[in-house]
Amino acid sequence: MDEIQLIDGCKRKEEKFQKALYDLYARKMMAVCMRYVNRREIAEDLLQEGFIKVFTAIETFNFTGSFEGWMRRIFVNTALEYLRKNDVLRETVDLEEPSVFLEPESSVVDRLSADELMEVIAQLPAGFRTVFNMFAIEGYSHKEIADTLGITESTSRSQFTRAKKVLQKKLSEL
Amino acid sequence: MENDDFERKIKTKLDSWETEPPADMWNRIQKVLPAAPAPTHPIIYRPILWSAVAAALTGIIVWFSLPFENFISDRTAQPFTQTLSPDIPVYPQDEKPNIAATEAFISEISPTAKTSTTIYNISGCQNIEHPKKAAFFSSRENTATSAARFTSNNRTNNKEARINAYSSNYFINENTSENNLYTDAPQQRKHHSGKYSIGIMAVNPLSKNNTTTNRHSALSKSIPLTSSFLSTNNPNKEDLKWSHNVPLTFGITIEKRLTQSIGIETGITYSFLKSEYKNTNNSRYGNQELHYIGIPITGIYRFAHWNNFKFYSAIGVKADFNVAGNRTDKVNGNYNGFRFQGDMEANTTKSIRDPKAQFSLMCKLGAAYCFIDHLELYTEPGLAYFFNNENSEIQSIWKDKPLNFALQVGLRTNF
Repeated sequence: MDEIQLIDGCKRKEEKFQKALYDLYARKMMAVCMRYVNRREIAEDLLQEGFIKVFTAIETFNFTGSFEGWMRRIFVNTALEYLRKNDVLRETVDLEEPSVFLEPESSVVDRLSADELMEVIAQLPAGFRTVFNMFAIEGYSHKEIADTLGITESTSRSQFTRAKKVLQKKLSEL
Repeated sequence: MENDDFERKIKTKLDSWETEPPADMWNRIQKVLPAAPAPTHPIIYRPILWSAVAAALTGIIVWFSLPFENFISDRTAQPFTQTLSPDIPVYPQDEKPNIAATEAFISEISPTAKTSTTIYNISGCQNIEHPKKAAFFSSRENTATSAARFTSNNRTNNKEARINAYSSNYFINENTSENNLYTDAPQQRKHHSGKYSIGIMAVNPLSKNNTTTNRHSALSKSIPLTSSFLSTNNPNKEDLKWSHNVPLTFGITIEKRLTQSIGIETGITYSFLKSEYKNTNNSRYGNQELHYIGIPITGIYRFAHWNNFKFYSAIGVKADFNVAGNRTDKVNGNYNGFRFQGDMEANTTKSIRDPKAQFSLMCKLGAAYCFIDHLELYTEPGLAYFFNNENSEIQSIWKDKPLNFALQVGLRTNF
């Protein structure tokens, strides 16, 4: 079963294709949700929410671009929606810059496993973590981040810089 | 450079990172997913539907405009000769007509008449099912009875006039088609004045375009944009602002008058409803079109008659059946939970149909002006109340604004 058959089957709302799509992407999308929220039970709810949106909106997918990218954006937006509705982003965007500034140390990253790295990222304040995820992992531009989160472009840049500094600080302490 | 390397390494590590979802997650999703729609057969369904409607309309029009039953019963009840002028003698049925003499007589009194004219008597059709057949098959042997009587009864002063009138009604040229044979007979055109009316009508609600905001709109319910999680945190479903265009209704009506002042009217109508909607930040919008076939049943009471005007009141019920509809739903890049590259917009068009009938109650006051014999123009301002169709997922002006003032105008003919 190739991806086109899988998508067409989901467009027809056939359960076996929906289950196959879920099996194929559930682990990856769970990881996406986990990156944005630091509590597993919330990430599970976001996963459920995201898949319902995917199966509902899959009729609109017209095979332009990557399907996984399309799905991933739905999950990211679902997570952002949760953060916005719970005012998590507003609470954290005004955090002060860390007093300690460390030079980037990429070798530290090499030493850590993905699970350990996730644990460190989960400790970041939600606002920093969100901007860092969107810019560094998902590849959004600062303009897109600003539009999505309702902040200015310069705030997005500043948040990212500060997030990276906090992350480097935490990594250097390991 | 070091910064870029740091970000790239983090991205690489996290991109490939996966984690196991809970074992019961698929069951949780499956419970919330909308069921697959039942297969529809639009290609077969619609032509059959419209054919049935067209056939029903044609049948109703033909049935009421060509009174076959009256034709037969009239013939049975009233022998042909009794409808003639009193000074035309009546001969016994068993008297043999003299056709040759009749033709000679006609030539004598009416030089313009062709000698090949044959006289048909359509009085003997009572045992034949179809009036056309009756008229056609009862012609040659049994006919000319009455006409032949003139040959031996050349006694009246105005016989030419009477015969001309008589022959124009009952004598049919051999070359005349079967249809002409039927339509030339005057008694088939005997009007039962005031017994039936057929009309065409159009309705225009007096209200302007209607706008409502529906917090728990059916459309929100039909697309589960919120799961149990977000529903808990955000109990309000999506607000959609609906704008309904003025519905368009037209159709035909048929009235049977029970007495001089009371009648019962039915008919068939077509209604077109169009609506548009959008959410609060205009990131989701669309339009909806609905087609209804309606059957009204109305009681009419005529309470005044002045010159060529009639005034009446009417009360009735109507059932509208949603025979077709579609909804185009559009979301753009700003829509919750959906993000598309650039200005990409996604839209979905789907067929929708309300399986339940929409019932309504209406009362009207009417005024009709008879401007030509048997033809009248009428107007009926009225009030209609559309009952709430419980659990219907269709949003319409009838649901959002159940009480409507409407002006119906039309043309009707009496026969």
